[in-house]
Amino acid sequence: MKNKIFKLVFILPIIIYSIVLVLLPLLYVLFLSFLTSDSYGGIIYSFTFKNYLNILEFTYIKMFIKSSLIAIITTVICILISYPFALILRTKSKNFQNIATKLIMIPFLTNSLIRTYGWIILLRKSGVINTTLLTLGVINKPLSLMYNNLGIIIGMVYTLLPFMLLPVCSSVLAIDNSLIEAGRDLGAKPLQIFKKIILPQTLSGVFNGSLMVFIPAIGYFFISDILGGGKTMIIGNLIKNQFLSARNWPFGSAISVFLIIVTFFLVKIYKHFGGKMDDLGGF
Amino acid sequence: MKKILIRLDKVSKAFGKNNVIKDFSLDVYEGEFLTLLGPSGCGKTTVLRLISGLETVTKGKVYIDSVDVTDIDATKREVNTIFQNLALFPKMTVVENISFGLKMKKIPPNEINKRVKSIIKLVKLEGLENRYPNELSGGQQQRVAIARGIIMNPKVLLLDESLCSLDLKLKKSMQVELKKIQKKLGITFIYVTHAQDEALSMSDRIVVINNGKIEQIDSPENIYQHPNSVFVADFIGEANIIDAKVLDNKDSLKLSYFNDQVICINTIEEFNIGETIKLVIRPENVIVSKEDKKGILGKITGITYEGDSTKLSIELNNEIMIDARIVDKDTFDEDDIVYIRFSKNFIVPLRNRYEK
Repeated sequence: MKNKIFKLVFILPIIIYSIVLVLLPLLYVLFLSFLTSDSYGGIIYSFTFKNYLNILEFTYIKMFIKSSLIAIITTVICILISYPFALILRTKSKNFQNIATKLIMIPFLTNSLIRTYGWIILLRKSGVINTTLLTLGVINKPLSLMYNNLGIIIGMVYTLLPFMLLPVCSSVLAIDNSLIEAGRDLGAKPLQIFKKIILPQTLSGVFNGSLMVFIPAIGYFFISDILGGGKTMIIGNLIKNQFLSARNWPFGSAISVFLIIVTFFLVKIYKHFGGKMDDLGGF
Repeated sequence: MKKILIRLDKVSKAFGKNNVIKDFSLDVYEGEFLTLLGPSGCGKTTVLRLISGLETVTKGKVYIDSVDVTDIDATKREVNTIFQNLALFPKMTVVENISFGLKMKKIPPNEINKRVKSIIKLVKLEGLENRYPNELSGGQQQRVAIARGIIMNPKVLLLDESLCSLDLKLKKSMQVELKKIQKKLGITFIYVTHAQDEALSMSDRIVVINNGKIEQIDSPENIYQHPNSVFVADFIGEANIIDAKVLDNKDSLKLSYFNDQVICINTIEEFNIGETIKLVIRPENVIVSKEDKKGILGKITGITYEGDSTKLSIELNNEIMIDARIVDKDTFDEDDIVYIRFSKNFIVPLRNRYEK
């Protein structure tokens, strides 16, 4: 009995935090999504499904598809970077591995908004990359590296890469060396070893990373704002605009709820493939 | 004359500055069960890895079936390894694990099926074909690992302390099965272990390794009864090792030990008069008696009951401890005064080459 009270005292702040700052706002968003807005941005308390039906409009569907495409491309690029990185890391000493994983984490200490602004210096027409390439004579006209989809993807990959790197690295590094030696011993060539031994064993890490990359990639509006130049809207922008510019809170809420449901299903799929919830909350 | 299947020719292996294997030469004959035996860290696993190609030699040559394979990668060598931790692929079923090597070799599927079926029968894994390694018991996993190796029809199967993880009873039955499989297929087995009982019970020949060098190569009987060094005598089985001095070397070796004891033994090896040597006497060759007053006087200081036999620790007058193994436990008690003798035919004299 005493023990239970003791436990409760420790858990209580977290429970209160979760209820006040997570659950109640979410319920409020859910509630808002069924209301109507007036033309001045106010809220009329009349129940409606209209907000949800609005999502099905062609413009928004297109935006959803585009958002998802950007998120998918970001995820794929992250996977393509993470595997070679992890495989090379495998061949290094334990010390080196530790340092490298720490280095991946370091950018997290800086605000991601500021880091995204940093990319402007590199990517703009008169930026570092363009001037370097121009001086070297590789190109004769500056490349459009930002204020388009490419800019968004570069920003997304940069910001979200650690979420892929860490689970992929940890799953690749966890493979017992003797398994790879057994593969060699049985006549498997490097590519076959990767396909038959490494890949199946690290798939859960990739699932985990994909989820951690894909979901934020749909919603990170500031990257699209800064590097997409406001021309390209992803769902994150749409929601932000509904709340801040269009002042249509009910519609913004409806899209948010929709996004939460999509996320929920993605997590469901992740769990279906044997993913563990603990791995998602790891960092 | 038996055919030499594997030849290590003056092989050395260094990891950085650490010389693990030094000038190691060894011939392995076709069809034999050879055991590399030695304490942990003596380099026996490294020898195995040099044969499999998972490790490359620093110096020397490796031949498999008279072909120089020194520079050939493990992928292409016709030997297979059973790893210490078995290294079964966790995301593959029993059948997938066993057929892995054949698939890599691009063998036609129907032949793979046929071979997998017969191997599964051989190692008695029927009914477990579609299980994953983590759904199998230790002994079953062991069998999958063995099947995965032998299905490749390797010239040599290398076993790296493969039975160590099993409990005693399973280990014993796997030993018997392993030996049976080896006899049946006629494949050469090279087995690495630090367990001398395994080595003695399974091998045709034992290679005792110490510090990256071969101490002795011989049959289990000879290794046990005629060790050629104090290290081998001490490492394999239990041994009383005592100092002795050569008094005469004419017909038989006349020795004095414990200052006042003199014994004559027959030996092929020659020793110089006055030389200090070591005598190895196995505990079971120490005769303990309460009546036979001709023996050396001693007191029993410890009795260890070991099931099939009993070990007596006897302290002699000169404070030297001698272990004796007897079958009949009831005759003796602690603190009993006894007389011991060494049976003459089982005393092994050794040159004192490990002294400073």
